[in-house]
Amino acid sequence: MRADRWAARVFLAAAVLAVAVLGGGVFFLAERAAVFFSQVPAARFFLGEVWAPPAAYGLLPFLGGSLLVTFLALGLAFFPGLATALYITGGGKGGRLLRLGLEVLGGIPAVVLGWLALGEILPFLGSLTGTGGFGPGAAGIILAVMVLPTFALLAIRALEKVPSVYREAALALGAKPWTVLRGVVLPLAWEGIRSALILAATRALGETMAVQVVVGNAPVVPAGLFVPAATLTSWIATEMGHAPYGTPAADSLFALGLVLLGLALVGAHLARGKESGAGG
Amino acid sequence: MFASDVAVVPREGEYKIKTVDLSLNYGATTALKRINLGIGAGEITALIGPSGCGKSSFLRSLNRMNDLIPAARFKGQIFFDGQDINSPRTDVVELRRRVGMVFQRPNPFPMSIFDNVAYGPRIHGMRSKQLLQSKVEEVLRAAALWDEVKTKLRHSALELSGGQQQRLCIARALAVDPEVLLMDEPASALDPISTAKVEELCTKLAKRYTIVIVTHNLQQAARISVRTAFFLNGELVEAGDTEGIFTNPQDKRTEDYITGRFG
Repeated sequence: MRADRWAARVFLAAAVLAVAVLGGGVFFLAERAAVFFSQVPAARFFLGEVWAPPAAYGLLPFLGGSLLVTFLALGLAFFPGLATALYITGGGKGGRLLRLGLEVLGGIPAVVLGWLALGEILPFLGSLTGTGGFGPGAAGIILAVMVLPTFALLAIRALEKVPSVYREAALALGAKPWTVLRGVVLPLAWEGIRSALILAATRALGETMAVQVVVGNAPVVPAGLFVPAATLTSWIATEMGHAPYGTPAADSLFALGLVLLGLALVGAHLARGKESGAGG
Repeated sequence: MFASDVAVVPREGEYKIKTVDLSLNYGATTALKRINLGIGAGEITALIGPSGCGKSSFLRSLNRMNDLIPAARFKGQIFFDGQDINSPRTDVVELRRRVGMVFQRPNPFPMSIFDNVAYGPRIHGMRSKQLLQSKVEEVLRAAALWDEVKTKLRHSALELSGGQQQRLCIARALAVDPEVLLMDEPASALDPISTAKVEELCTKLAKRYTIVIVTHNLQQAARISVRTAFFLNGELVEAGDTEGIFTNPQDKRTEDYITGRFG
């Protein structure tokens, strides 16, 4: 019993530490952002379309960039990801190998994908569009490659969570496997698939390295898919080496970080709310 | 379809389903050993025996639901209307339409009552609203559920009680015009009143359908079945008229089981 009590204490201490580190991080972020907002009015930050320190600190270039590349990535990854998940849960040939492939693809470091994008995707897009290829388009493509495994694997989990009694009932009525998948399993897994999509979105939103390599890092409201732009993450990563600590330029990056955190929390909340409604 | 494949001479009357030396293995586990059993057309046949004796495995062989288990291996044959259902020429979709199944736990889809019943006809190509409506009413009446649900066909099937859900599942199975109904302990998850209703329904349905019912409830087998087959450890110990099995069993093991000495 003594061992039990000690174990409980150790776990409690670990939990407290984790919460403290997390809380401390958020507090610190908020504190630096507060310093920034004491110098730049919040309205001018949140509604500003121009980023030209020290005269203007407008959020919209980065918010626009982040949302654009995220939606682009989801749009590109949704159908292939869902099709892959359906194929694997439907017991298609080579499904296990394919699943392993997804897990491996999900484990490729972002910087490697970024390097690959720089060497292969950018020249291709460049020759196609007559530009350098840099911009949200390239970032969306590389992000789609990165979130596809996340989305597909989570979608598989949602599909597999549908109780087998429903599949059995439909099969026993003479339904073909694909009919069962489409008419019974998919509707029941839909909430879970939506969660998977939202979690994939938060992953895309937070991804930095691969995006920074190809997005062009121009702090302007995105003017096109193949025109350099920036995202919240790519801009923070680009600037943090240059902004002397304690200056408004550095504090502005904390404000961007706070926005990113807020978006991630919204995503996590949405994903969780949906998942609890999945009923399975 | 190719009646020449029938390898056995049926007894008087007619077998709807007949197995010949049917064996089933799940990997290294033997579930069924050389089962020879005929299911009479238009009769209720009860499969009895202790848990794990193979009666459910046998039942699920008859509409090839065991296909879902990759490790399942068959030997022997199952004839349905003279056709070997494990032959590569068998259309599993059509087989399952003609041999319906009701499961141990009521498993209505989380959809409306109407959509549950209409699911089968729809996947088999029935599109007309009118036809669907009359089909739904017809089978809900046949399943003795119509009067209880006719005003709430659009409500979720999950709002129904367990007994109602099971009768809904029976209606759902009937909606694709099967010839045989396989019932896997259909009343074991129900209260006594619901059980009585499901039993009564079985008796009623036997006039139109061939029914095979797995049950661990011996009284139930005695009450509703015409023929009874006793399974033990994957073997068919004895099969015959229900009355004979219960009053004058030929095998010592059958006698021990029905008198409650084991199981």
